[in-house]
Amino acid sequence: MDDAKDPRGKANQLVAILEEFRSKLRDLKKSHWQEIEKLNQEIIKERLKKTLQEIQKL
Amino acid sequence: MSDPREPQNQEVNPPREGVLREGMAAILAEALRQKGAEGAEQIVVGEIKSDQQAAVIAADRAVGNVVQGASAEQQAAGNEINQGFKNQVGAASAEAEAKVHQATSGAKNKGPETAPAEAPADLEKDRLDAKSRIAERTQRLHVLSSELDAAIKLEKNGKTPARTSDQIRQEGSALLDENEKDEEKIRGVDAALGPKTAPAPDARQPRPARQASPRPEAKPQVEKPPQRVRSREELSHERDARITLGNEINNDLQHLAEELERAEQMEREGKNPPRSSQTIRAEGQLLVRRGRENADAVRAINAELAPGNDPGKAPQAASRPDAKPPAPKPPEKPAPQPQNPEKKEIRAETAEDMMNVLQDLRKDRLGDWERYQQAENERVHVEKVLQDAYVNLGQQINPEKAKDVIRVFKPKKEALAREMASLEQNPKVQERIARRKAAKTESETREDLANKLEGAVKDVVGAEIKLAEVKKGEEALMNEVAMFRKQGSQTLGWAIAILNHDDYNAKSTIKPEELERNFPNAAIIMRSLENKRAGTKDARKRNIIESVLQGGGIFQKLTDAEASLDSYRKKEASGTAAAEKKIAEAAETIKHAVQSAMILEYSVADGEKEVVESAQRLPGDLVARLGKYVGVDSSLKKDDGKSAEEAAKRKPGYARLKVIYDQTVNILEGKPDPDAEDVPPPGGAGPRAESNPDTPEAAYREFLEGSDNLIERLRIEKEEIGNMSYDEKEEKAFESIRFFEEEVIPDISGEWEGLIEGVIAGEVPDGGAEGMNRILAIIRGMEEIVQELGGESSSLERLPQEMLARLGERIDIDPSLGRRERDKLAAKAEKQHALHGHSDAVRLYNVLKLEVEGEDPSLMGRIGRLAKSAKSLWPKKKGHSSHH
Repeated sequence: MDDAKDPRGKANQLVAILEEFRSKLRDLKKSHWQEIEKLNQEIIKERLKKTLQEIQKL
Repeated sequence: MSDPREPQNQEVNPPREGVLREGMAAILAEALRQKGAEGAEQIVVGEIKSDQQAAVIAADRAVGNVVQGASAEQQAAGNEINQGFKNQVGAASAEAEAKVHQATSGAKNKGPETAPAEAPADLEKDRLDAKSRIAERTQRLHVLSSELDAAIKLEKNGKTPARTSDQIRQEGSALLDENEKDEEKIRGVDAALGPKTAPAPDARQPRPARQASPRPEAKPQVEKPPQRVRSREELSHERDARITLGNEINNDLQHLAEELERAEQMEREGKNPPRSSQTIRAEGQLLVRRGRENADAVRAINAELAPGNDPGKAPQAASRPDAKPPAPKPPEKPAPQPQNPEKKEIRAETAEDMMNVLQDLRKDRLGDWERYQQAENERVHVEKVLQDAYVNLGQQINPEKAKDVIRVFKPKKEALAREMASLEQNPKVQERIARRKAAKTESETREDLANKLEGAVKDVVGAEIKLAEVKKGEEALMNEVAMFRKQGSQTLGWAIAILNHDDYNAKSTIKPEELERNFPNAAIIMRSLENKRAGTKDARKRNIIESVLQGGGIFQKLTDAEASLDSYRKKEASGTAAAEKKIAEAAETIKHAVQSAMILEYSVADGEKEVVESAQRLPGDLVARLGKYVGVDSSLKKDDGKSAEEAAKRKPGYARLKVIYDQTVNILEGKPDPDAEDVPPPGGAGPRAESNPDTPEAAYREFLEGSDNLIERLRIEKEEIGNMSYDEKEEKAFESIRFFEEEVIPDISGEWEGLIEGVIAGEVPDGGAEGMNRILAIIRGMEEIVQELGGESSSLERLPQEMLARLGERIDIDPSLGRRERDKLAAKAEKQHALHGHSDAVRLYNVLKLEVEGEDPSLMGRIGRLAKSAKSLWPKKKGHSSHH
């Protein structure tokens, strides 16, 4: 197929690839955020535990 | 292939998605026409790279925020998460790029309809790409630096990090090498573009050879389409899409400007911002590049749409100084937002340029907001003036002047309102107003909660002081009673001897400690002596009794002191109860304050990042303020050489506050708190749970109430026995022991079993502490009665042992084993975490074991002593009381 003659079709194909990539990226971002959130919860817990231990050590 | 214009993700942002998709397709179609497949590939790959870069930067920022101040291990974990993410994004990006390459490779050979000579803009793009890669690597180097620090720390501590410091260094070194290559490339391009720095163009340039020409200006020029003239509709479409994109970029830049402002401020104060100003500038540069490219494209379209090129159509604005266009006016529909990217000549060759651009944007942004604030302040003033004028007019103080004022100020007020309404159209102003409103509500609520918390804690302290005073007063009276007993010990000894043994010649047949322990009540002895005197015919014996009764008036003194003590106890009972109630209420308030604080966090927070930040912040504050009262205050570290806890323990209410503090920490740690069933969990505003009487918590509360009743019954029983005569007591002893054995002991044994089950199942709010206290109080109540009666207590001695055995059974320790064996097993089990989930039960077991083993002499030690003394007093009754 002659892309030069059908630039719109080729452009649409490229846009589809780009959108597929962006969709994948969104999913990755979401799971990344979930992992960070999990780590964050651990950090918060850790901090609270440390505070508690500090008191118990006193 | 599906039509990419078809919305695939309606719920995200359908109109924007559609416009962007259309616009992108138009841009790519045009690129294909003008530059062929390679040009389109560059654009798509550029987009992919740009998204990849933005995602990586956002990921670094998110993790940076989260692990700030965390331990090295946690930072390493954060870096690992990020590294994984980056790898995945890199893979997705590579895959997409490969697809793009594949899609365009077939068309590449054909090239554009008219192959253009490589424009300076191409070289300029190479240069910018190289700079972009350098910025990207610099960003990565920044992350690597933190990772390296964390890895070195871990290695120093003998631990193995996710990646060794050497591996990290290798990556860093490779990145630096790559950077050098790109810098070399930039120098080459600079040379090719004009007499700037290095002499010759770099042969490694991938573009086809082109005639080096002096760079017309620093900013890249987009070549006008050489041949094909696009339709006005297509151009307009692309222009709209680009304007939307430009606005997005501008918005991002404005956010960056705010972040930069904060970061610079922090850096000036010597603090570490979540991201350094350098990093923010690097990101800004990338965005500026995209913005500039976009603006160039819009300008090119505008030029195409200009009157000379397309007469008869509405002209478009171009902000270039040489263009001098008429006022902007979109041809068919208004631009999506008032701002547009061509408004500003965006260029950022250096970090300083970037700063200037950001500052300019900041000025623009603050312009409307500042005007809005000024108008707002002015309106307050105008309203005040008008208000005074109306009052003046109403009271006819100086009506003419008031009318003048109203005449002038009323239109002013209206004008200000109009101005504010107009400024409110600016989304940035709206955002500011919303943020200010949220911040105000949040800060008021926070303050309110913090005050409540502090008030409640003060209440606890106040009530504890009250309780301490009561105790002190009671102690003083008890001392008085003891003093009189000591003073009159000989007289009292005679009295006991006369009553017990009819020994009228005895000087003192009872030891002071026995007297102390067995002397129940002066009034009873006095009454008994009086009865004895009345029933004695022997005059000499009557005289002896009389002299004992008169002995220094000690009976009267003691009776009075005991009556005072009794009356004081009765009087203070209500005060104590009130203080206890106050404490319980304060504890509830504290608990709710903390829970509300957590809910507040999740309800006011705007976006995930803020949730994280504020959730870390506020409960921490609350706990810190509460912690101050339980001895966490660092100022308590040294106090007469004692530890902070010892110092804190001397503070009123320490123990109770400690319990509250622990409960608070439990709440924050998300441990189940059965008392808080009416508060939704953090992060979710679920429906409030109804209190269910069948729940284990409700059963526990019921058990506590039932125990309180029993404790009260025992107290009354003890009081009654205290007022009984010797003979009455003797009869009462059997009745009491029956009461214990038939009612109290089976009852508390059953409750005990339920309590243990609750503890093991984690259904008991405080690990069973209150329940255990109640059971011990019941045992003590029985003990005190035995003390009053002077009777045997073997069943009481046995009870805790039985409880212990049952508890041992519950925590998988064979009850048939000896105690030593069981203890060994329990210790071993604890060590191996074999009793996972039973830790509360084990703790309870250990506490009770201490009690039973007599480490706390208050319980078993006293029972043992009592049993001995009772046996000596009632030798003939031995063995009767403990069995039935």
